[in-house]
Amino acid sequence: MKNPYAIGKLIYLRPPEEEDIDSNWYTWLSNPDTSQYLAERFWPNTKEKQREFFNETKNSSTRMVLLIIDKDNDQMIGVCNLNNISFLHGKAEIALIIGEKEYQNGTYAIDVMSLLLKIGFDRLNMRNIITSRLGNNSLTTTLEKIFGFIEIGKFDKLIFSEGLYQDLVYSQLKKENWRKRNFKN
Amino acid sequence: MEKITTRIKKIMAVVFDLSIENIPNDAEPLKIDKWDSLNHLLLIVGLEEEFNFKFTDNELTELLNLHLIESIIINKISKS
Repeated sequence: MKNPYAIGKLIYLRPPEEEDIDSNWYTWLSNPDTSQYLAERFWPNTKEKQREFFNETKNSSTRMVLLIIDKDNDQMIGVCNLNNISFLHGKAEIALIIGEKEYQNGTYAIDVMSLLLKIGFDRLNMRNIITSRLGNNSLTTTLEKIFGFIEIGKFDKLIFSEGLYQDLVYSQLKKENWRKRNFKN
Repeated sequence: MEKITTRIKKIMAVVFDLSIENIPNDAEPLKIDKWDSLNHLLLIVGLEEEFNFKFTDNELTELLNLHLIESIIINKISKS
């Protein structure tokens, strides 16, 4: 493992490095299969844009970008992040993309979600983790349900996606509820 | 009382749209075509409803095949 920041059962998370810009990373955000449920994905992504993103975020204290790496072979399979981190309010938003198709079987996304919540609550001392998703994204809806997120509201038919206007749905997981589900005391 | 394995297989049969006889004892994502990301998550939701408990985050990451699912559920029931 190379510079792991958090280690799960199947994967580990590490910060991106300059050489990662040349990997598949930038293609995931253009590929319609992997980006179909992202609210911001309408312009093609390029290596140059990925470099700009890397330079903008590498020293950020409000956005933590982490690459998802297969523990078995060190292959980069996706990217995740905690963004809009506020230490004042103790809140952050999370998002993840499993970019490599052969890893899109649910087990990897669960491993990533579990680590992101642990990072948010136990390392960054967040009180609330928030997500936003398109209303037609049943995969993320179910993933959030399993991890105990509660839907708190939505913008009605806000995002134009695949020819239709979709709701933008917000969900919240409070630290005390996360602890209650995972720890007896 | 119905065996835990049978109860799990029943949920799998519904989620993966198979007959229960077609769920092998060593069932895992690579052996069942319809065991994709959404169905994996729906399987978990179905198991939580069937057994009336919630998995912890740690348990969720270990539900990788029928054998592991069964041992985690047995362990969870024995502790409750």
